[in-house]
Amino acid sequence: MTLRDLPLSEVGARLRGPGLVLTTGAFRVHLRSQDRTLARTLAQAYAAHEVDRDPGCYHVRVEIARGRWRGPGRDRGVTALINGEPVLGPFPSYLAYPMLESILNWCIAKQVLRYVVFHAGAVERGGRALVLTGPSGSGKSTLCAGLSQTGWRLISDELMLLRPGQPDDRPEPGGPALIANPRPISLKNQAIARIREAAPQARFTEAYEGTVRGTICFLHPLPEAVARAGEPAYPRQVIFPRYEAGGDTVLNELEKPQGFMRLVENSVNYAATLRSGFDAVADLAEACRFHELRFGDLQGAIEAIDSIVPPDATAAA
Amino acid sequence: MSWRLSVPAGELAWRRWQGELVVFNPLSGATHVLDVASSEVLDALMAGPAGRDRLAERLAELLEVEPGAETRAATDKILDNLDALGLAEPETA
Repeated sequence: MTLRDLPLSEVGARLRGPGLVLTTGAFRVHLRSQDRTLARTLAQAYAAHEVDRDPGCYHVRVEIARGRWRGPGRDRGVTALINGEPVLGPFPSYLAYPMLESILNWCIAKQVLRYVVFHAGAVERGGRALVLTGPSGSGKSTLCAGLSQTGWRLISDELMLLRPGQPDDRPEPGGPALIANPRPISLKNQAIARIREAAPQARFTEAYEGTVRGTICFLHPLPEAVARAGEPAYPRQVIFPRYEAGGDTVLNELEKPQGFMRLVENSVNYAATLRSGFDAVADLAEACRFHELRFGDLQGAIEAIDSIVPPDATAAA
Repeated sequence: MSWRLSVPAGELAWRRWQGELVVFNPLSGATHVLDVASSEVLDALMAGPAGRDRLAERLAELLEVEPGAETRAATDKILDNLDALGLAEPETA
């Protein structure tokens, strides 16, 4: 059953009462919230995600509860709890949904040791996955969003999961695997308009103004990507984007050692994964080429990516 | 002076690309990139302890130069760096 199969009134009642177990890729989250607008936004942004596959089995409990906000007006705000412990907030109630997204990211970044986790987006086409990584503001989410609307399958944005091979595992047929976790893509400020213009058919949440990162908005993942979340993807290209307003598009290939080190700089748990993490990233580097991509407009960047991953490529090498 | 690896050779994890070595040190948990010359010295130490002069000769062969004061000085610098990274150390008597 997917979230769209539940009437909105039922979604709200479940969130206010016993909770809802939402499957996002490899994770199951038990969600509760008193906030009515959160139920509506969640039902739209996660419409294609599975719910209640096994209601008693989940990785983490997340609650967006009423807070003790002392801002203007009568808004008490919202506070986020993980497994019953308050971890974030209070913030004004209108930020309940962005707060939920932040908390889901936090859970993956801080609690997952089974995978090597990167600040990265990933998309896949014709069996070839493309990794987009770099610091905040480099344009990786903009590119990930643009590509996800133009024939690439969204694997994940913001946090990418690489599965290390186990010592007694047979090698993966296509090299190390990315574990899909397609969720709404967070876009900030000017990137929102750029994606609206490039993909008029795309669906978004409302825009949230006045956050610490300015105005943010979440692009709904396409249902096809969510339906294929169980399929791993095999990376063949790693891109380090760098957005420069008004700049030309320039693509430079990097040597593998430099690519390797820049990739691990963008991992949130590489140091903790020790030898298995090194082997996984090294296997990824064996299978991939690395490029730095400077770009000033989305279309130019997509054309540059098409030049190294032709649209007619049909299978992993 | 003789030098050896600080980590048993079998426990080091490494990959070589374009002559450079990306090496994982399990004792420190750190990953390093070694250039071609440093890789050559580490390779030699993986085979077993070696004296500085023998390592300098091997470096001279790699660089296709006559062994001498310059290659010995370069070897000393590489060994100091490998020591600082926790990858190599002088053998004590």
